[in-house]
Amino acid sequence: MTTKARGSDLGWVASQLADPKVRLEFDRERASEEFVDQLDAALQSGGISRATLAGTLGRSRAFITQTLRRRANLTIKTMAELAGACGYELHIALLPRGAGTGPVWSEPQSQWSVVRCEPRQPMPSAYVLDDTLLCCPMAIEGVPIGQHSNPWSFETSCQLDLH
Amino acid sequence: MGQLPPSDTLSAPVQVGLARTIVAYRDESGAVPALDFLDGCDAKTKARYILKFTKMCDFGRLRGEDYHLLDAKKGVKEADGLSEFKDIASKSRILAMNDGKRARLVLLHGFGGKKEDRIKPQEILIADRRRQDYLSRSEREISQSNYGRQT
Repeated sequence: MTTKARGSDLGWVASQLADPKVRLEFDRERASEEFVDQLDAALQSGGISRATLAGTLGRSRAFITQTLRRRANLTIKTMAELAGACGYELHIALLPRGAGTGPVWSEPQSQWSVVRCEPRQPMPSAYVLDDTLLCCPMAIEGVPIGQHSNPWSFETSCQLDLH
Repeated sequence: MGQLPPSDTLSAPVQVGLARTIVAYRDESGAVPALDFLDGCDAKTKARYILKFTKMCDFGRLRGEDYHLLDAKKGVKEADGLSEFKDIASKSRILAMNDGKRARLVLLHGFGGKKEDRIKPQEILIADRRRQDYLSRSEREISQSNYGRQT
């Protein structure tokens, strides 16, 4: 038993992510999951059936099912094909690695309002969909944001206040 | 983001997000069986569970193939109110319960070697026994703290 993690308030997830081996596997799994979640959301929002997607790509339905169940080992070429068949482009972004898990995207990013916290954070710091803060990878000190059309502001706890 | 609850006699913290908090049941001897099971898993399996826990905490839900409520009608009645995190690749499961009073999802029991969908009744009974223990000790703590406040 890892008494340190059990006895402390660090949390099991944070204690595991401190292990470079687990961290690397987590980064891989998250990237794969993010792609499949976004693909799934793109299929649903576009009203595209798995059969149609398979037909467009000249692949079997089983392949699409395996992909959406995260059982296929996808290459960048295949991911670009799958995204393209749903009307999307594949982009790969590098985000600075923090101590936590980082954001986990579940929707195609074109549907997100990305709120920047400048000048303290150069990267997107929170992700908003339908006026709901979905994911905030790090604590931010209150800075009024200009990019979003609504007058959002941040609190340090990442609660979003609408004025 | 919320704060992880402190480690206490009932549970050990696992992960916290905007939507949910996950802890793991701690028995009276101080052991945390669900985390002991997870610690014995390989790095890939741990990574997949970390992802499931993170998504559950951030979004409050997961796909049905990753997390769902057990159906008591299909098996033993003790399954009522239990849910499971499912990892198909490692054929493992983590059974959990919702602690509404403390607004937490509590991991109770982890086990591997699951090829088919149906869970062995023994595994459900283990989880249920831990749930009953957690609830009774939780009630005791709440009533003791209320009593302390009154006096």
